Amino acid sequence: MEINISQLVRSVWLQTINIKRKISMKMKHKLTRPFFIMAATTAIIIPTASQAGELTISGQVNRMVASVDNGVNSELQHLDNSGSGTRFRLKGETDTGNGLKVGFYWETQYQSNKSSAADATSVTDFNDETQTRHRDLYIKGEFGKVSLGQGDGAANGITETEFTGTTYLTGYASPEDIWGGVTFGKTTTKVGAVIDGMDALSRNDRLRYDSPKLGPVSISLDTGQGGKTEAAVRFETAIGGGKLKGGVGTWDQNDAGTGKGTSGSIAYLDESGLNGAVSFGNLDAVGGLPDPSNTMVALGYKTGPHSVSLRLGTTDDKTPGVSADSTEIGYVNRSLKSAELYAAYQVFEVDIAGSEDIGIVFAGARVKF
Amino acid sequence: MIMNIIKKQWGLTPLLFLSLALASCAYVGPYVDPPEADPMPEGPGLFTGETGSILIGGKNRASSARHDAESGTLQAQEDFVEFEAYQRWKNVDRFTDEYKEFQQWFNYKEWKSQQ
Repeated sequence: MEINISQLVRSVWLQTINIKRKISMKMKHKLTRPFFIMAATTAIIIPTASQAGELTISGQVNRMVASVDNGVNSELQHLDNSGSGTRFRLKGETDTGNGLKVGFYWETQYQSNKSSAADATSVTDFNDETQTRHRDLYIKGEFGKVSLGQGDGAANGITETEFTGTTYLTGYASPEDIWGGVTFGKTTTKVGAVIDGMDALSRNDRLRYDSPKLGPVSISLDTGQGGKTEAAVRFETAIGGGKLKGGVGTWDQNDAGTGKGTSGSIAYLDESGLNGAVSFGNLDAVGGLPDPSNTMVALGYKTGPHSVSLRLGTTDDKTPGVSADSTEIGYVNRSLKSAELYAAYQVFEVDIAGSEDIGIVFAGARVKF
Repeated sequence: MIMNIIKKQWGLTPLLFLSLALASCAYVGPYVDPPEADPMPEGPGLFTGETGSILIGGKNRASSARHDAESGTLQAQEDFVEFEAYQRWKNVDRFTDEYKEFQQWFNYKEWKSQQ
């Protein structure tokens, strides 16, 4: 959304003058008793308004066309971008009047032909999926926030800190979330088997606590099914004329599975619009196998409605002994109100006998309704 | 049972200690929602206007402020003008020349109020 600040300044300035003029006129008529009553009433009205609850509805549609080439097959695909799928949500929040707010967050994703299930051989409509994202209750105040239900795990998104402006649309530290179903050439290996951003435990049913800001730092903890635990520390601060933010998280599935790991990311945005990010992830392997790991570096530039980025990622030992690379260059345009247009080129490479590189060119739009 | 839970969470202990150390020495500020993973974009919607959502129940904070402002109380009008400026400030790109000009204007206001 573009804002003409000069007009804004003028507008606010004129309104301020107008109000001052009204005050001046009131003063000329002397501060009579009704005015004092009005002022006292205002003091009551304002807090009452802040206590109002609200229930809102919103959503988005994110569709794209992609040319998917796995070195053997190539097919034009019509997809729902799984980086940020088509969805619908309800949010409600009310002030309880004692410094606390109680609310809920209900969000469901509805995708037709989700991109994460697409392959270079897909020639018919292959997927129609509904996915629960949030079914969450919460209470928040000066003490922080306690959430109960399905929602983000405490460390969800911890590898995805970026300022690129293309995150989730053209790519991020977990490109397998968008293209995990594409097969390398004539092999049976799919992107999702060898590429992994290792970003904690996603959304799940849990009890979560988020702290207030402790200086530039905040802390999140949760526990869920099977004794599952997640913890994360996030920070955000201004530095060197720009902004720096990031975080590190750790998780353990305990009785719910064997997943256990640590990951994080850090990103910097310079006032010139140049930005960069580094993401890392490490899983604890079982059975004496090497620990899977992932690294991703992103470089970007933002100016006006334009954002462009380059991401280079490597995953080692997701499949033991196999290393795979991801390279992606993406562009997002936000000139249109309510719509983000994007285009990108994504390449995946893997060191498996008989594999071919995967090349994907895609373009689409995310429209918020 | 509690011991089992603590035992299971033992792997998180270094992080918790680090967090507590930071908490004990850091300034405790207001609560701010942590970043959501894969969030819907902020800003206006195609059919939902500047707020990006339709109010289907309760009382929207922005419209409440507008109502109070229109009700004629001077304080409410001033608050509403400031609230609108704040809403615009939230969405603005902070590295543009226009934003710097906006900041200078606020600095000027502050300076003037001290005269």
